[in-house]
Amino acid sequence: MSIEKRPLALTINGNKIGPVDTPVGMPMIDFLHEHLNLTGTRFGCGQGICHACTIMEIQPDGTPIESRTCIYDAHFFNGKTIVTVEGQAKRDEQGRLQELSPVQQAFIEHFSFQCGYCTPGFVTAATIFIESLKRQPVKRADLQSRIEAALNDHICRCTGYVRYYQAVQDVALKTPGCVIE
Amino acid sequence: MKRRGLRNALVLILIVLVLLALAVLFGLFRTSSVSPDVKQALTEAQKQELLPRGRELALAGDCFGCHSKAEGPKAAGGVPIATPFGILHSTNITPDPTYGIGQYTREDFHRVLRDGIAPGNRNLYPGMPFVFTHVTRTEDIDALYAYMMSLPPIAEPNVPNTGVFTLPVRPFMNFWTLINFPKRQPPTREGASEQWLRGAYLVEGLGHCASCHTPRNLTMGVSFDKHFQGGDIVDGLMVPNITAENLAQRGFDAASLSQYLRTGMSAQGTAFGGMYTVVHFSTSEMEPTDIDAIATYLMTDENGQLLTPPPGPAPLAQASQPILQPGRYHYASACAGCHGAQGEGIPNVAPPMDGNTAVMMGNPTNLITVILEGVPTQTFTGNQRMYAMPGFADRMNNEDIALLASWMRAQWGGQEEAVTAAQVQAIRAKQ
Repeated sequence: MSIEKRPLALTINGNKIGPVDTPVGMPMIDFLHEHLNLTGTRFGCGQGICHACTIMEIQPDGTPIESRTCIYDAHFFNGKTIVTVEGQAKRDEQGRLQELSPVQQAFIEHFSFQCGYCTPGFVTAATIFIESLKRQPVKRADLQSRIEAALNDHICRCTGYVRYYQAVQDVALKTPGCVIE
Repeated sequence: MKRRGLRNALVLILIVLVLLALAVLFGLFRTSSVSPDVKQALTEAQKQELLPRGRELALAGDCFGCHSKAEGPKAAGGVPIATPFGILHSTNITPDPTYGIGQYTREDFHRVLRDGIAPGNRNLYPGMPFVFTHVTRTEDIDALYAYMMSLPPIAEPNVPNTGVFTLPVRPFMNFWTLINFPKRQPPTREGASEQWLRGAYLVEGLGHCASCHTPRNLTMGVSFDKHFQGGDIVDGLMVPNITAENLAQRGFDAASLSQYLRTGMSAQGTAFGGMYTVVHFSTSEMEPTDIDAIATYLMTDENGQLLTPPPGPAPLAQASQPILQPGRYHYASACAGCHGAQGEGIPNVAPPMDGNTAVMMGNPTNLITVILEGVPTQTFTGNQRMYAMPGFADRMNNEDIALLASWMRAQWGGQEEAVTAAQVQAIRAKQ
């Protein structure tokens, strides 16, 4: 029996991809790794629990949400716009790294991760959280609990989360308009 | 003369009716089923001896499911129960003398469970399933009393009810009980096994399964003539039919039903919604022999036949017709990662869809609701857990959900009636 394929077209990190015939039921993470060589997104539990495979999906109104790529197939993202961890930093026209995103930079400065396996997911979740604060600022007193709630689903087995959370707090406090008294 | 006679007759009838109504209101038609023997208090030694039996019966009655808040102290009440007339709150049933039932005598306790009347002649609202606990034997109510009085007392005040229930409406419950409180006995059957009799006693009594699984009539009384046929909406979900025939059709036999009640997990899906509370607080904690008895009783049909499941439904022809292919693609995209490409599920991750109760039910309410809202992370017996299923309310439109549900029903549920976008919208609008 031949593999059933359907055309798939989407926008990843600002680049239009496809239409390309893609197997029905192929997990999105396999499509990213095997078809596009975007290997930054991590395959963890394969059950949607650890959130290491989380990427950013841009909704039609421009707000980003988290999407797990191990439990959804590639066609789930047909016609959508997504950003993987490769699309977070600023690059020049040749694709060379210019500047890390504020969240990425803060994770490095705070020594937030050790093995780094969960980091792409944390970068995505933290960036989406900061974006949400720009639209709707949080009171300073509530910031800590909001960070914990926003990153709660992401599992890290090395650092115990504290340094991730401190880094995100740092970015929130430094980014104008995110925190109100 | 004739006219005056007619008028007098009418007035007389009216007076009789008013007197009758007053008699009902003052509870003159309310007889007690409590034996006078229980006026005598139990000795400490008797209470001690009854404790283990009382614990098992309290679990069978799922007392703590309604009388404990999700993260609150055990048996201290405060769980809101929404009714069309206002919100009732379950009460503190710890033996606290001020806020709980610490002052209840043995007789008081018997009157609550058998008559639905609390001390001070206060009628209980039918949120308390006294229509069912009524059948419990005297010695078992004693055991329950001994056990409840052995719990740690918690000084948690009761939460006031709202709506109509803030008014002095308790006497009016006498009208309700007149219509809806039949004198019931646990069922018996000639030649029935001890196991069946035990199951019947628990299911029809303390277990109060019919409280949800039998539809309610217009006055919110239990329609015993539609026993276990389900169909009411409780907390947004449609209660499944649990007649023996229907359970067998959905793939259950006594062994697998017992396993479901003990663990919350089965080939037909995991317990969710209100049934999760039942499994969590009640059936998973009970003695396995009692659960086997309950399963045996539920799987026995009216002729005394213990039913076994027929082969599951084959995929219907329409599942492979072009019109439903988008539904199949949606399943492959959004669902198959966890529930399996063939709907076979992944053990300890996600239940199978092939033969899943929500997929097999004629009414698609539960299937649509779960697709829209997802299911929260739940823990099960033996350190098992199922991670949350995401809801798709923000990710799929009504048309796509209708196609997905229609295809799943045709593929695995034997249900040919297609789900419409309007049905999805109607459920979405209630969220």
